[in-house]
Amino acid sequence: MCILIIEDEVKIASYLVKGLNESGYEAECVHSGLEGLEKLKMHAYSLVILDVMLPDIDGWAVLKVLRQFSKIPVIFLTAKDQVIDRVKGLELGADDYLAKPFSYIELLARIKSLLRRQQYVEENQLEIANLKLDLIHHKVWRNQQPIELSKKEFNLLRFLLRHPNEIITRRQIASEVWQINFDTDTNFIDVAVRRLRSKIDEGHDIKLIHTVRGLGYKISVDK
Amino acid sequence: MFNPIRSLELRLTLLATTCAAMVLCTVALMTYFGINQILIAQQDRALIERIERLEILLQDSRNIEQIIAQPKLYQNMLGNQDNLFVLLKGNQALININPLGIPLPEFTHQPQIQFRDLSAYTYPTRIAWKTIQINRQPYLLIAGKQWSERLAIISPFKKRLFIYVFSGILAIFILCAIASRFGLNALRTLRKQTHAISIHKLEQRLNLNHPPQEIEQLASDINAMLGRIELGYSQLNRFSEDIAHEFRTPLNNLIGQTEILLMSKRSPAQYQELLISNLEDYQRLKRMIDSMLFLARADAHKVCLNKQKIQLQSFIEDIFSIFEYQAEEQHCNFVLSLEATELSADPELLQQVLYNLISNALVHGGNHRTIYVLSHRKIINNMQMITLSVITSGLEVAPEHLPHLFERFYQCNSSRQSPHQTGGLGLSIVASILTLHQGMYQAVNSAKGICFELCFPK
Repeated sequence: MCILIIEDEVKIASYLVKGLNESGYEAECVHSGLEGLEKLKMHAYSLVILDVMLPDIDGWAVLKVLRQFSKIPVIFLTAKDQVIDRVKGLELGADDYLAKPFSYIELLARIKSLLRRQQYVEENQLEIANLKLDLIHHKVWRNQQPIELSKKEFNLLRFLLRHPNEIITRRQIASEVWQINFDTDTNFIDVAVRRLRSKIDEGHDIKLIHTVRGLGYKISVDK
Repeated sequence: MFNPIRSLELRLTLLATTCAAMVLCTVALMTYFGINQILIAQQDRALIERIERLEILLQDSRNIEQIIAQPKLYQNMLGNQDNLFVLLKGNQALININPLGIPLPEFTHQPQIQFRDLSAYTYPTRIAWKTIQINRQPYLLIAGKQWSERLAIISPFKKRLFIYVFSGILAIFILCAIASRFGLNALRTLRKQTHAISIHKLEQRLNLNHPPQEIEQLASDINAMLGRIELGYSQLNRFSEDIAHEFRTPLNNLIGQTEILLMSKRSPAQYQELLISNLEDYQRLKRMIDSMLFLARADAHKVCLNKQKIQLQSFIEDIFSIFEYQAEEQHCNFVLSLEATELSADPELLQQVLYNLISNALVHGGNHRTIYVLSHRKIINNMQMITLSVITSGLEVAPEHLPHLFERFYQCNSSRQSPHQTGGLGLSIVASILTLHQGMYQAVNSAKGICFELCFPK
């Protein structure tokens, strides 16, 4: 799986390559639109991260040309997070959109979801270690002991379990569980996760819900 | 650039002069024709008198014979050359006094006096004629009077009238020019004073001595505008200063902590600690920038409203659910009471409004509070409005702070540092969102506690 990054700002491009490599993806970067199109014609990539502001031809133009020969998923990056750009990007056939400054973890989550989109299957049950979550009956067991969860707690746990071993940011949780899409302080998420953790992990040797300091939360067997 | 055609002074002068000239000319013309009419009537009366006198004279047959015998005598009797007198019997002229030899047309017999102007000749004359019966014989009596007598009066009169009217117009022009120059004096002062106002002298106001009412109104409107500009400008200034200050705090942390850490060798854990702390400050900066960007866009009306009918009950319960645990830990509870159950607004923005208000209530209210969210139908300025009130029980805000609560970066307690907040922008975002919805907002101390009241147009 190789990801192409078309971004003229060298610093961003290079840390994205570094980050994606560490996250287990191959990544290459080019610094101009024409170079990017050239590469896209020559090689098979699985995803493109495309900056709107490029020195030669802008991201919109790159996307227009690209869509004539490829259906590869495209994530737009732009500093102008205005609605009109969002609409324009999606109309032109972009698959997702992130406004700078963006969080790398969110970018990673979107890349994952785009690459997974094709083979996504809705399960009836989610589990990790001895924690089981029944999606149909809205029931949760840890070590065969049923656990009572509120609706929000259940949704939060479901969201974490759908992304095991992945770091989930507070912003992602706010958007997914509480449908809050504006930037807020995230106190309430910390409180909610603390509650959930006390119900899930208390009295068990293996802790499942972990805080990743500065970034967010993760559900996994090992820390 | 000064363009005389567009000068108000000249325009006013010309307009007034034109009007006055029109009135003067009309009056002059009416006078002229009136006098002319009077003179003609006078002339006609003289002619009638003459004809009547002669008619009486001629009724006596001795007289007629005498007159026919001695026409010269009668001519002399008439005196000047201006007069004309002819007595016709059939085609025979019994008397023919016509010193200027004015050719007479054919006259039909008329029992009543008739008048006619003979103007086609060198000496235009007014003629009166009448058929009289002497000894049952018809005679035609013709009397005439030259125009010259009347013209001798009317012509110099016309000339003078013309001179009077012309000098009148000239005088009006000059007077108008002077008057409008004086009248617009206030405007010139206004211009001079306005010109002197610069961004550094926004506190200056226009001050005119006894200006005309219109200009006084203009000046007071300009003064009011200056007041608004001054307020806006000083708010903007303070806003920039506040932004700089608010940015400085996290930047200070970033620089200081990083410098100290780099001064000597540290363990990886310490580096990690620093990076986490830095990330928090970055996020804080990002949140502030996002908020400011939102405010700037809302000010420029660049935020697209996605208005929808919102069912308030479930919508607000969802927002309560965000704060469920926080409220529980603070022993606070929520009360929802809806008179109006539906509202038309942008759901995401309304969510943000209520989030900010409830979050404020919990942060500033502390423990053991009841937070009420109420909705009412109201009619304000003949408009159907729906008000949403968020009340924190038992909490009051000092009245001097109330009008400023929605200002950007305004904090009642300036020493308080709350890194989780939007840095004093939460309520100004509420205000901006309400403005976007063409709604209204206010903060008042109600009987229950501090109440943030939001009015949405229905």
